[in-house]
Amino acid sequence: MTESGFAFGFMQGFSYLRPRSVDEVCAVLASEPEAHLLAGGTDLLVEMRNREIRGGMLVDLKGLRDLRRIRLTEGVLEIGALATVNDVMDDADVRRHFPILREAGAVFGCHEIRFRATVGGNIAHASPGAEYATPLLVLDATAVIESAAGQRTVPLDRFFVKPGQSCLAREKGEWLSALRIPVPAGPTAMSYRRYSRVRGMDLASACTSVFVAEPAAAERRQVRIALGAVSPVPVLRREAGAHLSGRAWTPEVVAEARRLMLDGIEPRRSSIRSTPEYKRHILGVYLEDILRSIDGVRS
Amino acid sequence: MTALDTGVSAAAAARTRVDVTLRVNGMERSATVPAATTLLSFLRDTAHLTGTKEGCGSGECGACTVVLDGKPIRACLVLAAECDGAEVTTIEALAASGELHPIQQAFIETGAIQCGFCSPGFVLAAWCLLREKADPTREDIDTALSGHLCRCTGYESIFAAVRLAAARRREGRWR
Repeated sequence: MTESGFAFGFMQGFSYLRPRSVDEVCAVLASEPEAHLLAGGTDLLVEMRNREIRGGMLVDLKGLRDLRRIRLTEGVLEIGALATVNDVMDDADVRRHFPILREAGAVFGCHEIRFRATVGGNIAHASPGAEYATPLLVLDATAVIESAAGQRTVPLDRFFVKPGQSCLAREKGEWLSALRIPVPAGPTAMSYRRYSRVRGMDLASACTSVFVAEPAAAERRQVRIALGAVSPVPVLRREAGAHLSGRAWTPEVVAEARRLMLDGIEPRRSSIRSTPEYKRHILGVYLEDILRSIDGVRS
Repeated sequence: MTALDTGVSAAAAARTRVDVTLRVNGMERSATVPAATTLLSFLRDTAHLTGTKEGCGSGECGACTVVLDGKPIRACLVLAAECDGAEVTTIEALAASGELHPIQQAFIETGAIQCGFCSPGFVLAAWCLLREKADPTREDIDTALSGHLCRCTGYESIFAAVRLAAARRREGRWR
C-alpha cells in the first residue's frame, strides 16, 4: 500500500484520540485547544479533504456512548452531542412534542448522511443555513457547553457569532455536549420550511421556522419566528413573533408581521444559491403559508 | 495534577497511525493506517476491495456507499479509526458466490447500469431499503436513493430496477 498518492494527500498530519469520559475530553481540549472534535464527521471530513483543516488532533467523541442519548426528564428534552439526525427522527418524544425536528431532518443531507451527521455538530458548526438552527431557536433551546472549568449553558439565540463561529471559547477548550429543549405545557403548532435548488443533498437557500404556543386561542397565542441562510447567523425575529402573539391573524396583522420579519434582513448578493430579492420573497410566502395552515387547522 | 497536566498526558495517547480491525463481508481485516485514513481508502487501498467507488469524495454523490453495522453510510465521510471493531458490508458481498444478487440482476434487466460507476452505491442503498421494506412506496425509494447521483441513466430505470427486485422478492423468488 502506498501512502503518497492523491487519495492519501489530505490524510497526512493528523493524530487520532478517542477519550472515554467528558472529563477526559475537557482535559485534552484544555491542553490542545487546536484539536478538532469529531462527532458525525460529515462536515469535518469534507473540510479535511478541502484542506481547510491541515493536520492536528482529531478527538473522536464516540467513546462517550452516553452522549448519543436523547432523553426527556422534568419537562426538558436533552439531545446529546452524538445523537444523529436519524436518531432524532426516530425518537418517540421528538415525534410527540417536536415534529418540527422531523421536518428539518427529512430534508437534511440525504438518507445516508442522516445516519452519521449529528444535530449537535450541525449547531456547533454554526453555518448560517444550518438545518437545525431555526427549529431549535424557535423551540427556545439551550446549548450545554463543557470545559475543564465546568459546565455552562447558553441560550441558542446567543450561541451563533458569525458564519462558522459560535460562542464556544476554543482557547478555553469549550465544546458543545448537548442541546436542551423545554417541552411546552399546552398545545402547540410548529413548522419548518426551506427553499433549496434541488430537493436532495442541497443546503438551504433560505429557511424559516415558526412555533406557536396555544395556536387555537388567539388571545393567548405566543409566536416565535426564526430565519436561516439570509444573515450571517440564524436569527430569531422577535418583533415579528410578538406582533403575531395574543391576537387574531387578520390579513393586516400577517402583512405587518411579514414586514417586521424581513425588516433589516439583507441577504448577501454574492450567494450562489439565490438572489436577496427571491430569498426575502419566498420567506414571506412561507410565513403566510404556515400561519394559514395553523389557523386553518386549529381554529 | 492540574487539568492541563491531565490533558497533556491524555493527549499523549493520540496516535498518528492507528490499528484498525474491521469485519468486512464476514472476513476480519486488520491494518495500521494513518489516523485520517477514510473507511473508503481502507476498503480500496488496504483491503483491495475496489468495488466501492470514490466519486466526489465529499459525501455528495453516493458512489462510496457501504453498509456499516447495518446502516448505509458514505465511506468517504467516515474514518477507518472510527469503525474499529465494526461490521462492514460492501458490494463484493452481494455476489460472493459468483452469482449476481437479484437486485443486481434487476439493474441489468431494466438498463439501470450504463457506465456502472454509481451502481455499487445504488445497489447497496436498494439492498438496505428492501431489507427494511418489502413493498417500498415511490417515496420510500425516493428517500433511500435521493443522495445518489447517476450521470447516465436519468434514474427512471434505476427506480424500475428497485421495483422489479422488490416485486420478485414478494413473489418469493428471493429472500
